[in-house]
Amino acid sequence: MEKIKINKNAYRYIGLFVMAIAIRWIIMWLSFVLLKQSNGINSGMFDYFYQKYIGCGDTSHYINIAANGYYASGEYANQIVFYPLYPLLMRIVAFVVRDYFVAGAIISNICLGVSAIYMYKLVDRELGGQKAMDSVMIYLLYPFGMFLVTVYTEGLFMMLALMCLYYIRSDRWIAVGITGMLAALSRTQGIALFVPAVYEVVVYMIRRKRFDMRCLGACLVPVGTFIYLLINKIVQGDWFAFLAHQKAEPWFNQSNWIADNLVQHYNMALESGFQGYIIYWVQLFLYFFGIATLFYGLYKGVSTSLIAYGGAYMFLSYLHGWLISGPRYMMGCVTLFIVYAVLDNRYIKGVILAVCGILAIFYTLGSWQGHAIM
Amino acid sequence: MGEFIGASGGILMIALIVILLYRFIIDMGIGKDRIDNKRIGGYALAAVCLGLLQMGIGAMVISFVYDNPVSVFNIEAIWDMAPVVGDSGPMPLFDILVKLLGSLLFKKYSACALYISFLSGVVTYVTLGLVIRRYYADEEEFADRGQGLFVSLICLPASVFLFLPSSFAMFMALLGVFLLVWNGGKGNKIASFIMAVICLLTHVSGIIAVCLCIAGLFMKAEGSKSVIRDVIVMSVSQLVVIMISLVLGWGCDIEYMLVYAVPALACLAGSRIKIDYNVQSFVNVFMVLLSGFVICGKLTGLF
Repeated sequence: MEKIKINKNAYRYIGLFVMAIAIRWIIMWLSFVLLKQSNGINSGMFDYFYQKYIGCGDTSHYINIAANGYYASGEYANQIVFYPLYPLLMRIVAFVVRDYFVAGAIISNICLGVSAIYMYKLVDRELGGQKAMDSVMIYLLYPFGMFLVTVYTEGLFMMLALMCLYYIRSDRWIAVGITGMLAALSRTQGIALFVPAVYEVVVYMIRRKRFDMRCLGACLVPVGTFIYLLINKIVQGDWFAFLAHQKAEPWFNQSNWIADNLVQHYNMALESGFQGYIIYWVQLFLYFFGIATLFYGLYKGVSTSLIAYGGAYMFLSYLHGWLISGPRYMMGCVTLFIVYAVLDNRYIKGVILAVCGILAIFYTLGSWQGHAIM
Repeated sequence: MGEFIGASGGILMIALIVILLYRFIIDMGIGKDRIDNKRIGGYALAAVCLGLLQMGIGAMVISFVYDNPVSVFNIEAIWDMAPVVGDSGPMPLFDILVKLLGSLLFKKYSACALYISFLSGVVTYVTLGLVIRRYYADEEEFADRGQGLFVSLICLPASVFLFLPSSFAMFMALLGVFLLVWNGGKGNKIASFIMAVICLLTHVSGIIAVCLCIAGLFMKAEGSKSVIRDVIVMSVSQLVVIMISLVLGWGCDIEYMLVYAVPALACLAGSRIKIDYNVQSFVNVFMVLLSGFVICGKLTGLF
C-alpha cells in the first residue's frame, strides 16, 4: 500500500515538474509568436532566445562570474554584487554542456520544475491538494515569471526558498539550515528565511518544553550571508564591498526607509510614461497589494511563520533605493501564492488567474521586445 | 500624494510587524486562554480610526488656516507644540527607543517617534478597554454598563495627544499594560513592579504605578475596597506629580489632565454605578466639543 502511495506521489511530482516547465515555455512561445508577427523575425524561438537573452540584464554578469569568478579590481569588480551560488552552479554544469548560457538556462528550468513540486508539497501540507494546485497555477502564471526560464537566479531562489519553507513547516531543521543557507547564498533576500525558521524553532521548543539540538540547524541560514560577506572580504578586502558597488553606477542602489522609497517610486512613475507601467506603478501596486494580501492571510489563518517570511521578504526588497526590479523580486514572496489558494470564492480566483495570464503574455512580449523589464 | 503613499506604506509595514509579534506571543502560549482577538481587534480598529481621523482634521485645519496643503503625517508641521517630538521630559526611555529604532530606520527619528506613539495610542485604547472589561463579571453586565465607558474614552478631550510623538503617549500605553497586569489576579506582583519601573523610566507620571505597587504591598484590600484604594492612590500621586512638574517646568496641562482619565475609569467601572445613558451622552458631547475647542484653538494659534 505504502509503495503504491509513493508511486502515485512520484507520478504526480514528475507531472508537476514537466507541467511547470511546459507552461512557462508555452507563455514564452505565445509571446514569441506575437513578436514574430510584429517584428518579422525569421529565426526559431530557441535561437532567438539565445541571441536575445545572452546579453540581457544581469545574464551577462552571471556568465562572466561563472567563467572568470569575482574580480578584485577593475571594470568588472562591481560584479561582486551578484551572489555566488548561481554562477557556481553554472560553472559546474558548463563542464558538461560547454556553454555558460545553456548551463544557466538548464539550471533555471530544472529549479523551476522542482520549485513547482515544493510549492505543491508546501500548500498541500497547509491547505490540501486542490488548493495546492491553485497555488502552483498562479505561481506559473505570475506576470514576471519569464525570469524563471532565463539565466537569472529566480528559479534557483524559488526552489530553495520553497524547500526551506516546506522543511520549516515539517520541523526538519537540518534540511532547513542547508536549504536556507543556499538560498542566502543565491540572493540578498535569502536571509528572510531566518525569520520563519526562528519563529517555528521557538514555537516548536515551547510546544515540546525541551531544548532540541537539531533546532540549531536553523542557525545555518545566516551562514549563507556570512559566506557571501567573507567572499567580499577575501576578494576585495572589505566585508561590505558590495555596498559601495551597489551605490555606484549603473545600479544606484542604496538602502532607505520604505516610506522614502515609495515616494521615489511614485515620483518616478509620474515622470516615466510607458516605463512606469512596467516598473514603478507595478512596484507601488505590488507593495500595497502584497501587504493587504499578508493581512488577509493572517485573517484567514495562514501559518504566521509563512506570513512572517512574506513580511520579511517584502521588507528587505523594498528597502532598496532606486528599485527597478520590484516586480521580479515580488515573485519570491511565495506567501502571496499561498494566500491566493486560501481564497474561498472560486470566481475571484478565476478572475485573478485570467488577469495574470494576460499580463504574463504582455510582459513576456515586452521582455522579448527588449523593454526594461528587469 | 507621494508623501501620503510613502507614509502609508511605512505605517502598514510597521503594523504588519507589530501584528506578527503579537501572533508570535500568542503562538508561544503566553496568555492564550485570556486573549479575545475579536475584542482586541475591535478596540484597535476604533483607536486607529480615531487617531487617523484626528490627525486628518489637524492637517485640514492647518491647510485651511495657512492656505498650504499639509500631509496628514507631517506631524511636526501640524502639531508643532508640546508635547510633540523633543519635549519628552526628563525620563529617558522614549528618547532611547526613538534613537535606537530611528538608527535602524536610516536615521528617520521623527518618523520612528510617530510610529511608536501612534502604536502607543492604539495600545492605550486596547489595554484600557480590556481593563474596563475585567471589572465586570459577565458579558451582559459589561454590555449594559462597561461599553459606554469605552465610548467615553474615545470622546476624551484632546485624546489626539495619545497618538502624537511624545514620551507621554508611550507612558499611557505602558500604564494601560501595567493596569492589565495589576488587575490580572495573584502572582502578577513581580510583573507589575517591572511594568511600574518601565512606566517611571518613560514619564514622571510613572510614579503613580510605583505608588500603586507600594500600596498593594502595605494595604491589602479585596473587591470594591481595592478599587477605592487604587483610585485614591493614583489620584493623589498624580496630584503630587503635577505639583512637582509645575515647579520644575515639565510636561503640560494636557498631560496632567489626561492621566486622570485612568482613575476616573477605574472609579466608574469598579464602583458599578450605572450611569444614565442620556447623562453619559451629554458628558460625551461636552468632552468632544472641548476636544474640538482645544484642537482648533491650538492649531489656529489662538492659545
